[in-house]
Amino acid sequence: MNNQTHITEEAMNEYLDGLLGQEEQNAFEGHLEYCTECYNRLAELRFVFQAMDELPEVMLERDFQPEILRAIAPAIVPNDISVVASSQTEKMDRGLSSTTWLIFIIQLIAAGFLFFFAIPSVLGRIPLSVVLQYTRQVQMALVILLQNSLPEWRQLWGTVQNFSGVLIRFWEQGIRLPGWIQSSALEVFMLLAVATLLWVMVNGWLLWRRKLGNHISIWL
Amino acid sequence: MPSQTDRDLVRQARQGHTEAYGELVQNYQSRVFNVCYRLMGELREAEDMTQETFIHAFRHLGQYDPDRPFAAWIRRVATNLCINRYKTHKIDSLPFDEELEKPVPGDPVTPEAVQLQAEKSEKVRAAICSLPPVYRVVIELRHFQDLSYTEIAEQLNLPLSDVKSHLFRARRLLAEKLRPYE
Repeated sequence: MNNQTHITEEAMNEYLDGLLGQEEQNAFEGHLEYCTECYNRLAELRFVFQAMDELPEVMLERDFQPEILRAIAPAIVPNDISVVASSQTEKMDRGLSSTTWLIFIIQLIAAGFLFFFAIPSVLGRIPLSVVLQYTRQVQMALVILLQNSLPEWRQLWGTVQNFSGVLIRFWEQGIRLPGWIQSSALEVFMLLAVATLLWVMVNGWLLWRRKLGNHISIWL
Repeated sequence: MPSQTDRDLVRQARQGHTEAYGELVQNYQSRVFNVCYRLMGELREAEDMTQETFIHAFRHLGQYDPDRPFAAWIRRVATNLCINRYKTHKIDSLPFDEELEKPVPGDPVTPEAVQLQAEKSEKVRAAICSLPPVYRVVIELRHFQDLSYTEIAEQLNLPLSDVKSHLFRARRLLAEKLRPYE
């Protein structure tokens, strides 16, 4: 370390971390005696060290023990350190958020459409009229099932039926597309169905990864 | 060396005695919460991560080396889970929750000193929270968990040169952020 060269950032940090050898330390301190710039830079860093050292611990105002014990209790296999995976215990006292429920319901509906419309009509090459008939039969079965349970479901089902009626009319009339797209309604629908399927799969994968994230990779 | 008590408690917990693990939770929940609070910067998140840490640790007690301090291990688990949270939630910056800056026992007792200390701590925490996640983590590991450069590199699976660069840069950023309050 000569008179012209300032102390490097690395040396300054290593000095404060106590990692410099005696000789380097002497040279370092000798430089500080006449170099105001390095002295000031060191003072700033020293202040950071001091601030970290003096940062008080935050007082904990609640006891996590009961919740943690409740969470781990069902997972224990007595006299064994192995545990039974239990998704219910991953998140304590927290159900799914309303947004997650909404996404789940939308995905369920999308998956239903995929199952009743797209797959039978294309994979099995079943005529559209048969698919619609098939769908109506499923609807009727569900109506009977629901009517036999709670009366409130009838009203809800009526709404769903109206909605599906609109969708079916839309389907029968065909989808109007710009002239430059040479696709049939079925192809467009299939495209949407595949996109929906991918969306459901990717979402499922993301949820799975989030749940298991701690076990997969934990590093930045 | 860890205290005999910790070693005993871990052994019992491994055998399925939840009361023993409950005692470990009692002993270390405050330290774990502080790690999470420094890394997450927000009360609710820190609480969630504290609970998650102890549940995760319980399920992985088999990986704990009884010859090493339990405190260091559980803090390491907390740090890793917070890092994971950064990644899964794509957290780049943190909101800072100021409500916890309260005097702790042993702090200066005059109201002015208490107020001054609380303000200073608040600003330091806010400065830490404003750092990019990887900088925040190296600061936590070096200054609060007292790990060497090499240990940090091993824990984060990063080259030593990267650890030094992150740490030095983080400190310089903190120095810049704290400068007006000197």
